[in-house]
Amino acid sequence: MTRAAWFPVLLGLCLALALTFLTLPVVAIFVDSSPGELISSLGEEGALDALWLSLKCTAASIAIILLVGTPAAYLLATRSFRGRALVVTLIELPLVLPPAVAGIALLAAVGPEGILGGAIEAAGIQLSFATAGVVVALTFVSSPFYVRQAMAAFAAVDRSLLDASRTLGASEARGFLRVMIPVAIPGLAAGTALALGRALGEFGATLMFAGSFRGITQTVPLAIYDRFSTDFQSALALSAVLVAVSAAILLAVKLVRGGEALGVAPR
Amino acid sequence: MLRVEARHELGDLLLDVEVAVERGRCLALAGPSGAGKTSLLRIAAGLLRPEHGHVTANGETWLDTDRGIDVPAEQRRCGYVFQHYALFPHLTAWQNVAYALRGLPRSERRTRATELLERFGLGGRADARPHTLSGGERQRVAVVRALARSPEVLLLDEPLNGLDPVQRRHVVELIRRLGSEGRTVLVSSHVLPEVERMAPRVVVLVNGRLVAEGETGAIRDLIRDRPRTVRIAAGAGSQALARELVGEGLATGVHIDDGVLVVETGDVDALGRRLMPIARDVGATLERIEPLGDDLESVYTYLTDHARGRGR
Repeated sequence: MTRAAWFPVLLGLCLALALTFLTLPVVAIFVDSSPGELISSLGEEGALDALWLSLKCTAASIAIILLVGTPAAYLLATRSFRGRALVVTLIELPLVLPPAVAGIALLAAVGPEGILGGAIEAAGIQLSFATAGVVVALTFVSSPFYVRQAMAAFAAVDRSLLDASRTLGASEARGFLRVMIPVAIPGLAAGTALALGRALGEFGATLMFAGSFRGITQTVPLAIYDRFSTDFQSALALSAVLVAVSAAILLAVKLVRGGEALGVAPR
Repeated sequence: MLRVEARHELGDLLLDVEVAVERGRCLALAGPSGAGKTSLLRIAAGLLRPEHGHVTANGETWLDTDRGIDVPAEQRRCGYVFQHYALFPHLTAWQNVAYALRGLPRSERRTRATELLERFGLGGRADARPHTLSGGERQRVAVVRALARSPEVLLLDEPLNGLDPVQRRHVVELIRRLGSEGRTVLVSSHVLPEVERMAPRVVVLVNGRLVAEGETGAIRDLIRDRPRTVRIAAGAGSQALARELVGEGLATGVHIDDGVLVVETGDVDALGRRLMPIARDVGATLERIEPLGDDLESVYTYLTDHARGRGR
């Protein structure tokens, strides 16, 4: 070997190491159980319930995040005002909060004994240990992922497009809907995928805030933890499903990004 | 009639101008980059609110900071062609035009947009997205889009930027046509020689202030007749040549710098015409002639000094 060749070899070794370490556990899920076993454990009582609940709660929380987060991100991206940096930091805070802390924080805020607990109960809404509570927990932990990405996406749009929209007689609201959102869509989609991934995998905050009741608050990650000591095979099957869904999301993001490169989206 | 009067601080620049374009006329706004041309257009369109200003168009008040009137940009009937076109990248050419045609059924919007594009020779490009169009085509789509709502006032920001000579000629013709169709047009450019091809009248903006205004011909004469400095290398005959140039009144000042004649003249054209015969008569050999100050920057500097000299 020549002296110069050691560095490329080192690079290759590091990549091989990283690849093995990152893919082996995922591959192992599928190696340890045959497809037949996977499907039959899915048929077990509770497994499909957990999957359905996960999808339902994630969809609800993503809907809330898109509806509220998109206009909020647009405002932060297009206006400068005093305290803007502080607002952005506060919105990003849940990103660095440990999930257990997020759960406790939610209990303290909107739990039965929380500061808003009385008001929520008076409104006839049950959050803790209820499906709605799962949605609250998922929304809390995953919305910063979306808002951050959406803010960057809106900020990257050429401001003269919005000006052009106004000189063509469109209100700002119309410019937002018909120009800003379509032009920022690749970034918004990427943000949605990140939030989706985070919401699907949410464990800690849900467990602390909503508990783990089969069919009511037991999402797939909680069901995996629940079965892990008693029925490892079933835990594996559920894990395999989560891997498949997550991989599908990642793939979808890559495809949207590919569209961007093809010039579907803005320069 | 479009009248824009504004005072506004923009970083280091204090914009303090008053510009008026008669109804159905075309006025060019010339000046170096950073002189405040775009800001003036943005103020007219309602995209920038000045600290103090008045904008009136055909009898309507669009902005009056004294009375607290500020008609929002979307309600000012004024077309704006942006410097980098600002076409919506996710829409095709016809959809870009149709964006301005609100309140019509979709099929009718499409027909109208396509018709408009055809009128400007873009019929075949109606379904193309902006990134597949050439610079000149984008510019024309941007103009068509700005015209879609039939605005009485049209503002164009540096419409010749980034175009090749052929496309420039097309766009110049287009702008002249817009002017002749009875619209009130204000068009900006940092390239003075091109301005006179676009509009019969010009105002020159330097450092946020107007330094010259008038018929483009008059401005051209003013620029042509400005005092100039010409360096002439004439070897041994330099002394004799200098004496003769001053004698004929062609030079207002002469000195010799390192063997080269530095001639100041108020009429560079006459000097150019007479230089060869005089050199022949006095037996001087012309080795090199180098007029100084031909660049745009020195033209703008001259116009600024000229305006100051007139006590503006």
